[in-house]
Amino acid sequence: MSRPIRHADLLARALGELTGAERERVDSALAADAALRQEFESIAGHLLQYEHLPPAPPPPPFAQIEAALDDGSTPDLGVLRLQDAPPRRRSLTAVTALAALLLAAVLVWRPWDTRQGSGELIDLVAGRGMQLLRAGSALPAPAHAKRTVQRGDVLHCLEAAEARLGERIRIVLDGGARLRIESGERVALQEGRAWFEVAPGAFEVETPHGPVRVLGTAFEVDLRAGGLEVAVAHGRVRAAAQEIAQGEQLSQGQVSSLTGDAGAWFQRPSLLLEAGSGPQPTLTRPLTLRVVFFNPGNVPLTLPGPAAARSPLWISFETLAGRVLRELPVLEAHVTSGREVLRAGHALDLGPGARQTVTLKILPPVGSPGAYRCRALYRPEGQPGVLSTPLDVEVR
Amino acid sequence: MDADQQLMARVRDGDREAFEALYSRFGSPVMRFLYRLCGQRALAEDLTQDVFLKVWRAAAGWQPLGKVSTWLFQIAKRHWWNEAAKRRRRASVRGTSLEGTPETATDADGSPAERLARSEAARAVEDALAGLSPRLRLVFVLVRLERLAYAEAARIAGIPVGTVKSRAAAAEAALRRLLGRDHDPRA
Repeated sequence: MSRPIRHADLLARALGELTGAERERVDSALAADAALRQEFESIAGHLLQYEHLPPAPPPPPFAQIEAALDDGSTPDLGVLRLQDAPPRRRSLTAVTALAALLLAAVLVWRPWDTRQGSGELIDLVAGRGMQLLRAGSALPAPAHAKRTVQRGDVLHCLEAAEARLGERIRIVLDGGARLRIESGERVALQEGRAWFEVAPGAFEVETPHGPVRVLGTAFEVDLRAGGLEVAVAHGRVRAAAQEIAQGEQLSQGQVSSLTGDAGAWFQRPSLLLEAGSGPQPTLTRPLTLRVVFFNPGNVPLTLPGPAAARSPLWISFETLAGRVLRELPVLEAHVTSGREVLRAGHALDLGPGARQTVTLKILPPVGSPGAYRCRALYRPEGQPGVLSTPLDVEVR
Repeated sequence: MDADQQLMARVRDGDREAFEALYSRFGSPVMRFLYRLCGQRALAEDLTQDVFLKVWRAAAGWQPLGKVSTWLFQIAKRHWWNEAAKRRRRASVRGTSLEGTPETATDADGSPAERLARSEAARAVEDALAGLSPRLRLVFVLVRLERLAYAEAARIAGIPVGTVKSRAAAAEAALRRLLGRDHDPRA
């Protein structure tokens, strides 16, 4: 026996919410029951009343929002709860507030934390393979544990690993990298390579050459070649170096390096890696990638293509933690205009500020489905290599 | 990612121009939603501004897991809900509330008689809306005025779809009573 038609069913029908069998069931009942039909017409007529509502006023001008952003009066977000929470009664609210105060006091005090010393305490979630050094001595490995660190603590990575500093900063360190914590908004990269993703707000990476200040969100700092290399995936950063007076502001997709003895920022093409519009890659279906070459400098660049079947362009597949799985040479790719450029004997000319996109397809060189990180590497013989920004891909 | 998600991804990256584009795309729907909920223009403007400031701050944690509009409405709903609770607590002292007397916007179109009729009808509907409990009003605004599907209204309100259906029906029945229509014997 079917459920009787209720008021909610009629309302849903009037609002056009019912489909298929549900709608047919209500329509059959309406056709057979005059009282039900009258009720439905009454609901439909009632709904028309809301057409009388005047249009809502326009929102405030964007300039007002922007001004509030700039004067720092942004309200706290709090926790975005997606549950339906009824307003609490005053007595409960007062009790909750008192409990929250006590809890906050205990959390700040941390009576169980015997490592507490002077200086700012920063929450850190470190990955496996990370070692925390304090005054030169290793503390017990903080793998997968949230803990506080002090100014001067050093994260040393035995293998590539990821850490979160506070709520805003994600750091991926290569194996061998050393990062000293200065504050929740400042770290010093002492060795190796680190990738940073920073939520809006101040952040600075000190290097032996000078500071790299965040003006955006995601960038890489690399000290491995003896100089300083900065690659920006999103947003902007400003890199300053003590070797030269002029700082360098880099935007999305740009890479700049400062070699140890050059005394100038060495301009190379920057590479931005983007997923193409091809089908979802699988273990047997190729991944379509676009590599965007960009000349950020003010002199023309000529980028040689493959020579004697040796390609200068490689695609690297890594784990999300940064461990390289495979690097594959690209022997043929297509520019967006359709002309093949990465064949033997061809070269790619890039004028100052010019951008050229090549598209290529590559079978994911991985053994199992999952999320991977790709990078493009361009390293022609006799020239310094350049690494693209990373691109996360899902292989099914 | 759809176009809205791509825009939001740029906002997540700290792109102010994208944020402005996001505001021009969603500022009006969010303002309308909040205005229908609180019934007061100045308050709705303040809430809209707060919501977008929160969006800017929360953008770093945004992930393309659903419609951008749903995410924005969730933030707007949460903010309105919290502000309503705060103001209810203060109401006994100051006599102010987020469920205060609704304003009726003027409409310059039509003859004076038509404007008067529209204005009276609008006031009646807005008064009735203000008479609903916050829970019923939220569902009614989402389902009836914003014309969202039950499933999306449920995601925004943070309640099951079945609860959306029952609250929509309850809101409808309550409004019928408040507007002097026939009482629904099945409600």
